[in-house]
Amino acid sequence: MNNAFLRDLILKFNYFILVYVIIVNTIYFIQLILSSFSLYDYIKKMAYSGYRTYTKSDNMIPISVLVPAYNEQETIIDNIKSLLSLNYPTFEIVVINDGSKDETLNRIVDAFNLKKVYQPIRNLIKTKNITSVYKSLDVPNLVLVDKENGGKADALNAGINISKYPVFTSIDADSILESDSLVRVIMPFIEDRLTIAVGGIVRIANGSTIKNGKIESVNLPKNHLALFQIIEYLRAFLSGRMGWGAMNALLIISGAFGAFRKDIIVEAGGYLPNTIGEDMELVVRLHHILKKRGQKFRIKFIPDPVCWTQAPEKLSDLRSQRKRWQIGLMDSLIRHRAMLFNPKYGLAGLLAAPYFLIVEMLGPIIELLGYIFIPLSFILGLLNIRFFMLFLLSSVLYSILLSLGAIMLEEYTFSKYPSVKQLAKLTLYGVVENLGYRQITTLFRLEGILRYRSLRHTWGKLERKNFSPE
Amino acid sequence: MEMYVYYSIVIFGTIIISLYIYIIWVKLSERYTYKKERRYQFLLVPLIDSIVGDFMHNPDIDLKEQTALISKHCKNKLKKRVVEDRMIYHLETLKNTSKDSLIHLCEKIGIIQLELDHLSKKNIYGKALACKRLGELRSKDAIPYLLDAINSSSQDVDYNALLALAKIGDESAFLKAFEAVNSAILLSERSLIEIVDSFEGNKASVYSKMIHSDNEFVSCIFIKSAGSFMNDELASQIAPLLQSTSKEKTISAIKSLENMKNSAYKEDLKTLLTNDSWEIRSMAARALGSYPDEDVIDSLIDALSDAQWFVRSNAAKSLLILDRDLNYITKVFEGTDKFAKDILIATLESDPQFSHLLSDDCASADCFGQAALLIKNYILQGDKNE
Repeated sequence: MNNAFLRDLILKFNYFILVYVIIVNTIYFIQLILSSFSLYDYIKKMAYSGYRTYTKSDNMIPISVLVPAYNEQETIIDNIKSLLSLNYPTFEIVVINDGSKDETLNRIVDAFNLKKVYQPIRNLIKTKNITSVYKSLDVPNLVLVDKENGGKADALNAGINISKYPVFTSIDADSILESDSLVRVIMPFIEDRLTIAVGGIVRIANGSTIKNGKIESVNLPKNHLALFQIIEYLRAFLSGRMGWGAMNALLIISGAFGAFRKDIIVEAGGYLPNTIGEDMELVVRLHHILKKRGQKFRIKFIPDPVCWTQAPEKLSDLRSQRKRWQIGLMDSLIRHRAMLFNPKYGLAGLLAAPYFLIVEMLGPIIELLGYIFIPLSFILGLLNIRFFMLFLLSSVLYSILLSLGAIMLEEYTFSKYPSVKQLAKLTLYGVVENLGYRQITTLFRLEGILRYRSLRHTWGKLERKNFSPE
Repeated sequence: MEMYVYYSIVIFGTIIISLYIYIIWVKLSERYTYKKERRYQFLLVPLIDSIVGDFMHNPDIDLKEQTALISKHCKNKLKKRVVEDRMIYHLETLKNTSKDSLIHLCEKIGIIQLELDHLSKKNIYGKALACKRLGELRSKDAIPYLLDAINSSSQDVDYNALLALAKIGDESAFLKAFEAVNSAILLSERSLIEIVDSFEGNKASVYSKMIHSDNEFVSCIFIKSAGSFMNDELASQIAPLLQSTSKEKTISAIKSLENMKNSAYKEDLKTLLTNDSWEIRSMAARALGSYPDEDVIDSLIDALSDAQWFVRSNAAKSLLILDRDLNYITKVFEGTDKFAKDILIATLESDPQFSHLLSDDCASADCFGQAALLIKNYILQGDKNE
């Protein structure tokens, strides 16, 4: 009886896996196609975009760049220098030191000759206590805020309170921006007044040459893990987010680089403290609140390679990062579960949120069950080996197709890796990532699911290297 | 079932190979086009430059031969693009008087018609690009087509058509275009101001007409843009709008007069410091800092006690612009309003001239006399209370 039940269960699960794989790959394929059209449109648009005229125009929206920092002593100075050299008419940089335990605060104060100032703070959003504000006369558009540790979201909220301009952009302290990045990320606000938030593409800086906080030349890294992540990022941004953006159903704007209208964010209550997925949670909340209110809005994604970040090169760092991402994803979906499958929230509720639930959140569990049930099927003689091998081969091929599709989109549009050698290397890693790397990241995500309760309120820092060569 | 899997493998494999072939083809064709374009540039740019040079020296010169030669080249699409790019380059750098002949040459060799053809197509990206190029080429022949293009389903087309009309500089066409604009247009206010700023015709006349437009949205755009035009006659037309019943118009008028720095209207601005709307009070406080006049100081000191942070902050900034010797702010520190004192200290610290006022190097009354002592006492008192 038990054996029969088990056989029945395994058979049903096998069919479920088959259907699941078909659905997931179909969604990915549709995304790829949608992204291709969007990217084509975007490239066409670049031919007449007036963004260059706006770099010197008084009519450009002034912007506050918020840089939350927690134990970022290795990269923070390069990062601020890079930000100070941005090509933009009016902007301020607000660095928020979230109670770092290392030398972050002192290094910034010394490097830019900052002095403590007596500045009243508007409490638009409640935050942990701000202990000091520093400014420099030599660098008038730099503000350093020192506050009690409260997490990244709290640090960003403090930055919003201190900032003085109507649009702010949040960037990670370990990221480097291209000189035109602010103009590019602001253009959607200029072109369409319904725009409330814009996400930028994040690229991996490992392997590239960076001098004085600027990308000098783009190269592929030697580290295998970083190379795999380049493929992943291309797939996630050029295919995934571009596709969701085309449907106005973008649920994530990366914390590494995104711009928001301040009034809307303040009205929504700012970033949610005590969560590590604050970037996704905020965007999901914007959809939730504004759709409920019936307000028209647009959350856009720009595919220009504008922000460069360091990818983890050690398995332990990758593990920590993926756990954080998984917990952040779960947290956002659980908090805003009312949106799931709810037509009131448009495509964000009907398509994007269920996709993130079924594919991104539950995906690792389903994959793990697959690794358990398939050997079981084999032991019980339920597995058609020939069929299984064919199915596996087609799944891997499909996965390779999606990776290659993303690489192709990159080559077709921005071509940051233009040589044939680079293309061949990316292609090779796009194939090899299915044989181990993918499974490892699935395990890390699973760990995130299991440790959701205990880790969801932490910063979860990665070890960073200095951007500049020694 | 197995057959389906076989099929899918074949299909996926074919797609992958096709993608690769496509990408290699695109890369090769891009490289080929680039090389070809460079070759055409080498051939055509000196020719166009010499024609433009001849035009500069003698606008009446007969250039039939050269024109015919360029027209012949323009039968090739890529060559035409090279010619067009070079013509646009010259049009952007030449003075207004010399542009007309060059625009006429562009009309003659068929570049304008080429862009008009693109404009008539359905592809919105091609349309938007054609609008942009027609603006850069500045031919009046394009006006009716550009007017037709406004209020299309694409913001990009709308924006570039309006910008093109601004560059062409024909007053009646520009006014007609903006009459068709309403608040439903999705372009941001800043982009529309940028368009108005770019108008290359008689700006004073356009502003005079449009600042009084019945359409509040359009009127505010022209009022704000007029601020960068620095014209006394225009300022006198904008000043009455300070008393407008429309908050938006009043704010636009304040911003405009602030940019013009015309002190004739400072009394009107002073009265706005007591307006019911905090946005108007805040803008008025900021604008008053533009007038190097001590008459407004008392009003700004009063504004330091406003209930709204923005008003206090702007009043403090303006006050410190006008009171560089810190003779007047002592009054504030002798008073009891903590908010007024705090906002002044924060503003002092951000000002290079005063920032050292609060440092230990400036411990005596030598630095800015009484003001420095009062401020230090206030800060020390605050620290003790904490």
